[in-house]
Amino acid sequence: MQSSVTFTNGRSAVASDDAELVRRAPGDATALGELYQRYVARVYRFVRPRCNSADEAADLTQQVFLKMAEALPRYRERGVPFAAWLFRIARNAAIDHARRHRPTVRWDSLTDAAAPDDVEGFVLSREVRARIGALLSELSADERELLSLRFAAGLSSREIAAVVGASEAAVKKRLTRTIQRLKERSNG
Amino acid sequence: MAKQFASLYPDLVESSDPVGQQLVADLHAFFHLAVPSGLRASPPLTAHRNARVRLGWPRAALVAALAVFALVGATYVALPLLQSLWSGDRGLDYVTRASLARDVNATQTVNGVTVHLQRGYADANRVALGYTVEFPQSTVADRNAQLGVATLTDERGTVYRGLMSTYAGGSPLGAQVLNFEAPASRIDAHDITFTLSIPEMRAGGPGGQGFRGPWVFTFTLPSAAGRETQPALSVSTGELGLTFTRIVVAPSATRFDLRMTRTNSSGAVTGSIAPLVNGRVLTGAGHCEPDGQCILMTTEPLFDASTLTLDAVLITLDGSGVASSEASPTQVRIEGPLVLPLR
Repeated sequence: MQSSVTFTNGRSAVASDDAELVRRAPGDATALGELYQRYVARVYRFVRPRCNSADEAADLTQQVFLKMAEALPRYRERGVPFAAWLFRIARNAAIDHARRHRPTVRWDSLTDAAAPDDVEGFVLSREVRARIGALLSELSADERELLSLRFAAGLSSREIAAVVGASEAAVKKRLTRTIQRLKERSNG
Repeated sequence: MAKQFASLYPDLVESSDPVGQQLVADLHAFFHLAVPSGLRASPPLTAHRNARVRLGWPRAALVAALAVFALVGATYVALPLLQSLWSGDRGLDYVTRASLARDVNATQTVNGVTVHLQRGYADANRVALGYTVEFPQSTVADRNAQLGVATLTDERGTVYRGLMSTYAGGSPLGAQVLNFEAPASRIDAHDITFTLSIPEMRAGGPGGQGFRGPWVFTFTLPSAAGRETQPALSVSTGELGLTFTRIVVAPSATRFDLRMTRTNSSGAVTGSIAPLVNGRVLTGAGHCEPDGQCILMTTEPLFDASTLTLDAVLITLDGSGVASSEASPTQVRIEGPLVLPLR
């Protein structure tokens, strides 16, 4: 059998696949479940630093998906990619949660294990984790959120811009500056 | 290693900046926290809104149903919820029309919560169980019910792997369909005695009101036979190989065993696979093991079909969905048509 294979840009290919699932999801529990499996880790990692415990973060993650399932029939892309739309829900849920629960967790005390299966053995030592946590705790809440949207949620600058309501250029500039500042502090 | 992870963020760090690369790799690992396994295994997705749409279940009808519930009990009212979930699964709808599903009709009440295991179905690929639940009247109503996470074993001690479940309703009435993957080792028709254990019920949504069980049911179901084909169909790219090794076609689901390999090294490949049929992702679920062995299970009714033609197969390599990788090739598309024999 003849088969040709093409490599596609991962993000755009995933996006079109998302669109298909999003279209089917309101009437198809399997598609809804596939969206859940696709995004659950990213949402959990995004909300985890705003919660006092892993259990609390897991509960908040599930609330995000329940809200997503309820709102999905009303979702229209209109320039806002699905991932950005989902993380808007996650961000709002995290803000509401923080208001109600006043999280006491400190970034430099976030001691959950990294996911060794996902990072192929690249697990941070306790010391490095503490150092990165300390660096992050010196940033503003907005800067930490941008990094969280980029590294934990895995969003592109364009998607982050749609989440926080800024221009893509502004997000890119802010991210680059933040990384630069962290690098300088890390060296200092 | 740092370089590898930094390459996921080409817009944040220059390739000629080792300090920046190390920092970005450390940030990647810092944010890449382990996800509780229970969270991955138990989607909270509720189908109750969809079920209501399909049933034409307006608010007034719900109020009327609750009034009936007060008079005659919950079972008769919750049953339509279960019915909508069951028939919403095309594979289960098929077996119901073929009169292959069985009534189990077993009830247990623990801590004021009554679980009624209504029906079950088993074949060579999956086991599906549908139950209704009645919470105490005083239970805080919350439409975001999660109901239960269950374990299923058989008389041989086999533990069945959970597939996605769907649920409807909430407090005080709810319904859930649980799906489990049947072991690959036996595809002939036979009777199986199962034990279903539901350790806890949650009626009030995440973090809400929970009730401790367990609710335990032991029952016997006939398992319908599947038919096996061995397509030995291989396709490959410059770096990836995909081999269909076995297909088991059963009335409620069709299972595809696959192997992903690297063609230029012995390294394992893991990721997700999405077969496309008529331009759409084939409805179903699947998982891949670290050694590249994968299983795809579709609930599309294919029992009467002779072949299945895939337009293409999309393989998303592990890690690609985790971090932004705008410029990196993370998805392989194998163009078809790939004709898979089902007989």
